[in-house]
Amino acid sequence: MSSPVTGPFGRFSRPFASSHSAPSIDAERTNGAEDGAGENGQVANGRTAGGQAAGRQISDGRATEERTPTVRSTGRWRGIVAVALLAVAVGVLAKRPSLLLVGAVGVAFAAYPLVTAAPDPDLSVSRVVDPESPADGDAVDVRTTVRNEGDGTLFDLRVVDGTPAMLSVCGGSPRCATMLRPGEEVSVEYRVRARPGRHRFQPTTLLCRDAGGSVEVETAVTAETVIECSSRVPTAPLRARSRPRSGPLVTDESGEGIEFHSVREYERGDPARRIDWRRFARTGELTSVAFRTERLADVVICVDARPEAYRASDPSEPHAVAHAVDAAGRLGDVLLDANHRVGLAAFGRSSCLLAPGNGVDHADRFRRYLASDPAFSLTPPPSVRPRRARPGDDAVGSHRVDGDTLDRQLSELRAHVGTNTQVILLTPLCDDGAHRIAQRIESDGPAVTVVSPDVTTGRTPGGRLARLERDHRLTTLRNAGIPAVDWDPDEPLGAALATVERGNR
Amino acid sequence: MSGVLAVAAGAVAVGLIAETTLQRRILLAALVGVGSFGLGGRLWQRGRGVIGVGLAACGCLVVVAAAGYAVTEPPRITQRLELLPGILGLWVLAAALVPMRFRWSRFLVAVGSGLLFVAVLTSGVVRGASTTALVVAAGATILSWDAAENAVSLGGQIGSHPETATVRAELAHVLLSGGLAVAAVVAVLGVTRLGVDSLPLAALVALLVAAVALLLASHR
Repeated sequence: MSSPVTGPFGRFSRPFASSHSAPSIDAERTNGAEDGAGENGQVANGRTAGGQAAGRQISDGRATEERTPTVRSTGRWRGIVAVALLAVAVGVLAKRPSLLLVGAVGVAFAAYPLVTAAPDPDLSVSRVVDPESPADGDAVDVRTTVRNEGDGTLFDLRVVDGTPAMLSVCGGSPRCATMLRPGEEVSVEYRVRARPGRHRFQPTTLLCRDAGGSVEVETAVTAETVIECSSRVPTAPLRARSRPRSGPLVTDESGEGIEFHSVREYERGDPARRIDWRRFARTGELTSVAFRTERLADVVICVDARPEAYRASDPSEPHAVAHAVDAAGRLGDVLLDANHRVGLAAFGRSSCLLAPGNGVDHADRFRRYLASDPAFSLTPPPSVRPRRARPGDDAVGSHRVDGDTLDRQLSELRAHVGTNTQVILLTPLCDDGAHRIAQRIESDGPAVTVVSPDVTTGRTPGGRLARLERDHRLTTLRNAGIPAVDWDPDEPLGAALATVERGNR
Repeated sequence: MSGVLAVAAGAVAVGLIAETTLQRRILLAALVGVGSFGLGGRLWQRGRGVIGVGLAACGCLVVVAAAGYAVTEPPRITQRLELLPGILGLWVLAAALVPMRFRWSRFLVAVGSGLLFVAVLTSGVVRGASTTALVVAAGATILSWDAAENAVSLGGQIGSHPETATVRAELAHVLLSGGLAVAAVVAVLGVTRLGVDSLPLAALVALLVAAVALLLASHR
């Protein structure tokens, strides 16, 4: 029987990870009920397009990067020649013709990879999810069908469906291995537990081996599917720093607004509607009421996606970067809806910077960056993934982000962000680097608010130590005047944000 | 499933080179041990720790006892030599496929099937088994390695979740390799019927080496 992939990242340790030059391809999305999917079913289709030139294409408003399939030799029959030669050598030394015949059997197997043809997969993927818009905690049935559209039989096809990183599988398995004759199809059916947010399925990874298993072709097909679970957070934690334009951000300055700020003596020129007539009636004294000024804020939502941040409390749970990206999307939505100018940034293996802006186009750009920019990749870097033994496996390079890269990324951020801008930094605070980043940004000018998903666990002594260290970092940040939201991802984000909102006032 | 098939093919290989009744009895006992070891390991993995570990430990004891008998009991030293690597090979193969530690699986598969092959070679050297049995055993050994390797590769890429469907791919793979093994064995035995035994050894060696050189030259 086969064996499990285990490791600190469990589900997130993507199985076909050694080279990511495969995937994806033409995608279209149709809404409606097909295959008896029911009223709420959502159907998405995608297909491999062998031999197409690499390029970018926009489909369904999103950019999907097109990559050609990876063909590699597994080299699994390579040793058989040595075995055959060993048998021949022993046969010669012992003068036993029967052992020479044993060697001949080995030679036959050594010829096996030469007579099998490398697979040329032409596969289409369609996916049905039901319901499409579940409530928090609901089970969503997913049925992904892979169809062999080509002329050749695929003797060994391995399918791993790209489940959304934030959703855990709660029944069935998103993986299978099978043989597919031309025109045949195979379905993987499983259930995922819905969590608040907008969850996109990742490309389905498909791996075909030839009959002898000596050549494997890895490819991935995107069937654009989204599970949307109501996820609004009531408010985003903003600090009282803003642009001098009216907007929904309540500040400590007195002026125009709705919320009461203070009462002062009437000065000539104060508008009549600001005069506190009740007080005038009671005491005969003319006073003006001032309200808190409400302004627009420039906010950059910044995700800590350094390799150190890919930590999870449990192999079956989403890691901190997945939580951070999810929270970034939700905070971005609420801020954009309130007409604030919102930007996006990430530190890590690659950087991403979207200058603050607002409007429908900007909101679309914001969501697209968050969904598809490699800086927000939900796949942990290879250096933190458990290494799998595998013949022909390339040496996995280290992907750690060194201090220079981080400094450069911080300087870029500084160059694009004015001192009036606020930064919401989403980081699990797993290491000292994270709170240093917060303090560095704050010292450069922008006001920082830290939102920290808690992925520590108290189950092991190491976990308890990590939790203590994280608590210490939170305290350090708060002592430095930086508001820090300690968010337990099992709790609603809105509730955690509300606590810091109260603290800010 | 490939794992079970691998151990079964390995057992066939060792069974073919075990000529005497005593050897077969010892092998049967060893197989029972290997089976309960494998089953126990699986149960342990699925979270039934106590039963699994107990079963695996019993299996190990039986295998050790069988190996002890294999070394001490058979009357001729050659019979002792050919059985021991076979039993140990089956045990290691089972350990690779449980798997005790996933990273070691490939190494253990190589060691286990290597031991099986050593048993076949030993049997050939000490004239323990007939030519036909030897050739079939060699085919079964290679099949066993192939199935075990396929199981490990599937485990690495797909995982061994009980609800994951992999039977069809495994069956297709094993049937294709099995077909090739049968064809190879039939061809080799056919050649034997032609009276190759009477050919000078040097001629046979030259033929085989030529075939291997040809293969190496065209290998991808």
